[in-house]
Amino acid sequence: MTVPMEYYLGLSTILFGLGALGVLVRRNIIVVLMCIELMLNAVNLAFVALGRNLQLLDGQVIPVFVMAVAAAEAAVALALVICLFRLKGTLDADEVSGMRG
Amino acid sequence: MTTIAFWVLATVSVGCAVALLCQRNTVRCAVALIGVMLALAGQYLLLGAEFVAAAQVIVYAGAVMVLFLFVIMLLGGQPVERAGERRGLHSPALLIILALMAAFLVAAAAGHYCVLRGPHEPAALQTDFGGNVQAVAAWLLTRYLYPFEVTSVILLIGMIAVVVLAKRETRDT
Repeated sequence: MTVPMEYYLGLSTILFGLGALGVLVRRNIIVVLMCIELMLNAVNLAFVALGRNLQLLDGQVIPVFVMAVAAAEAAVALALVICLFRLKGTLDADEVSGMRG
Repeated sequence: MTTIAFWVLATVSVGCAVALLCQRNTVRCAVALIGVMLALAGQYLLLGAEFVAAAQVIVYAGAVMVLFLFVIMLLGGQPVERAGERRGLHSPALLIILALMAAFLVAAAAGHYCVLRGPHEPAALQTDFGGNVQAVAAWLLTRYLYPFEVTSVILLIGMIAVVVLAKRETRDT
């Protein structure tokens, strides 16, 4: 008795939406990065569910690449956060307004 | 049985994601995200993707989250969030996200009726190489060999970037 693929896509959508909401709403830069990781995880779930539904192995190979790129992204982003913290002394995304964003 | 496991894991993952959004304490946010990742690893097991489940636990819940916790501990974990939300951005953000999710669900439903029910014979998902892990490894090293090598180059570039960032910081201060 397998779960239909639409349920997995719905769960993936909910997780992606929560992650995007966190990116827009939270102040802490580290939490924003964690929400980006959550969005990547949601996309991975969609890949695996679609791969099972279409009987293709691509759905299980592409998440491996996503994980590798996410690991590199997390390392670089956290190094930037450390540099930013030493420069500004804060982790508040609203305080870092050098580009008038 | 599979359905019950799906709903339990889905509830855990969504609950942990909501906790990630609502917690002020950064360490608790990280623990909530680890909960999401472990629940998703369970979902991958339900979907028959054992290799992705193992990589999820080892790479995401292990390596990446330890990196996050390391940086949180390094920076002292100050409570920078005063109100938990950014000023004036709350309701537009919610609107945008709800529109996005509605668009995704419509796309999923449309794909359900149009594209995804094509005549696909059960292909080499599990059986060709005697197991899921072996099948994924065979695809990684044959059909996806070029992206695999590019990924290793990306990891190398990331490593060099981190070294450069850290080194410049020690020279300036």
